[in-house]
Amino acid sequence: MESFAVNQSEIIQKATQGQLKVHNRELLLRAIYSGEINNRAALAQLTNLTKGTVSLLIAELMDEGYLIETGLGQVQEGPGKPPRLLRFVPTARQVIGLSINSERIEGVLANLDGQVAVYHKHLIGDRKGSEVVDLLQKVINGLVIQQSAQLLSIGIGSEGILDTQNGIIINLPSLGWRELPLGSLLSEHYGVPVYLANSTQLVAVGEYVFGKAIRSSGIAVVSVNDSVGVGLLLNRASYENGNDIGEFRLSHVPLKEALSWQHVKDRIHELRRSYPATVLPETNLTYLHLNYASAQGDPVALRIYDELAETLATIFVWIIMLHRPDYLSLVGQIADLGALLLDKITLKMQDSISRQLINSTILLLDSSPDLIPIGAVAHVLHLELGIV
Amino acid sequence: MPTIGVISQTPDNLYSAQVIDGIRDIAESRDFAVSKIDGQHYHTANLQGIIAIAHEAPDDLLWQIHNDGIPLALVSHQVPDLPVPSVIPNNWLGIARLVEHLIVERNRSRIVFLGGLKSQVDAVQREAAFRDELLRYHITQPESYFLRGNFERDVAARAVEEFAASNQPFDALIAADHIMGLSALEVLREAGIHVPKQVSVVAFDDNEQARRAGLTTVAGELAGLGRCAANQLLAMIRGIEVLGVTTLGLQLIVRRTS
Repeated sequence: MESFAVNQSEIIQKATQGQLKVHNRELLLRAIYSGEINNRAALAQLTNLTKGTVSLLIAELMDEGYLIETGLGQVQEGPGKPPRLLRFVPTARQVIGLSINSERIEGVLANLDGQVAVYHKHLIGDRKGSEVVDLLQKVINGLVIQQSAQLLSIGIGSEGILDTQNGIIINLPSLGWRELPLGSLLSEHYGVPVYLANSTQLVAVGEYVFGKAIRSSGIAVVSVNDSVGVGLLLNRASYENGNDIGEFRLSHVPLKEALSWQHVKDRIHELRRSYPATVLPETNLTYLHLNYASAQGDPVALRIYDELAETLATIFVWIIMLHRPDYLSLVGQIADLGALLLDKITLKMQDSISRQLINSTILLLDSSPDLIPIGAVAHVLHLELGIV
Repeated sequence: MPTIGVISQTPDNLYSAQVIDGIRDIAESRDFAVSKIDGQHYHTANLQGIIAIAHEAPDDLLWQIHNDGIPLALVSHQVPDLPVPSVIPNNWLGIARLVEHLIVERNRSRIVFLGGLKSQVDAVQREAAFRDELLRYHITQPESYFLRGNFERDVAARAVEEFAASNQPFDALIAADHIMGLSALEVLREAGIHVPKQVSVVAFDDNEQARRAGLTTVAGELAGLGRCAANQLLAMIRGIEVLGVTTLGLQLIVRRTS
């Protein structure tokens, strides 16, 4: 029993030491990555680590290619040698970030500072189940073969019900995926860690790390795509979460229907009868056509804006009331409706909450197609290196 | 030495030449030779794989090559349902950046679009992207502001000459490639139109000529397209299955003409 207890305590001590080392590496990397600190002495001061520990860890990080020395700095005060300056090397590794939805798989190959080297995508078409997994690997191959540095990790954003801890897609009916251990499957194949997370949550992470919400205390994201999702990153990233709210019913209609592009097109079709002179085209209609038409005062377009704003305002009100984020971003193709949509949402919100409360959150729009893959990159950088 | 074939009807044109440079960079570093081929005789050339540039190989030829089991990658081209990878410039993002630069940073609002060859995928996407951006910024533009340059210097020059002589007001011109952009610059200057004071001129793609002329461009490095396509093809030759469309990141390079 005694030897077991000793062994256990050795194991615990080693595990704790190992974790401590990882923690200390992350601390140092984060300080240099952020540009806060660029020399060993200042790192030791900031982190309360001994100079010896700092030097050892820095030497390790330099060996691995994450850091380089860039010359001598200035002596701050008193006698002493000028410090050797350190810089983070964003091209030391590359990361793959992916987004999977019912229509397409798209991904990026990025450096450690989020700079995208290559985008790659493919439509899913009629594929289901294992055919989609097969396609996913071919798309990942399309990124892997363009690497110019060692691959660190792969991050994936998906909708549906996920077990993110174990990298399992529990249920994603649109792709015919059920209890799919996607994380381990891909990790085994590519020999790197693979992380899975809710798509909208990843958008929030990406905006916080690389986007408009940098250094804010928090951001909420509402995404409108196949379904409707909410992603949160709050309290300076100490809390993050994301979930699909598409099934939630407002006035008996699921959100994912009320905000869907098909619903918008159906409404336009109905409203044409009352407003036959609408400037909206009959074919190849897009959100941008609605945007343009609204600026011309087109009554059909303006009605659509009002209806969408009504629904979105309800979601926004709840998010602002509960979480008071610094930023609230609406993402997806719907964001092509432009600033007028935000103006109308703001007006509708005033029916429910005070102007002061509304003004405490900055509303944003973003229709960029690569938000989820970029968010997946940011997520991986956080989990693998702790630098963000 | 194992050999990659490149199908390009106009291998000496600036665009193809730079793409082929990129292909060579990668191929030769992996001990593959690169040979420009006539697509119709691909089966006699003993090739490990083929890269087809732009629209210059007909779709049925590309299907034939694929069905014969020869690894195939495409540059600036896509064939519906053909299960081969391709590399194309980031046409949507590039045009969006150029339009944003002109409208938001340079306060322009009457923009002429000098388009490429109607049958070529980059030309189609760049024009569609431009039309989308006009919607986004609520700009109504008559069809007469859409010129056809076919990615050819002389055709572009004639189109711009005719437009300039028509006295329709304009304060900017976007050329769908830098070759047409350079041509437009020459024509406007000869017509006594001051660039950029009266008209800003910007273009898609960049190279040394564009830099020397001070042309503002959005840079999708052409050799980079070739390198990506070569990476795709060499992977397939090694037995790695690749599907999908690759696009490269690009950046706005602001110079004298805007």
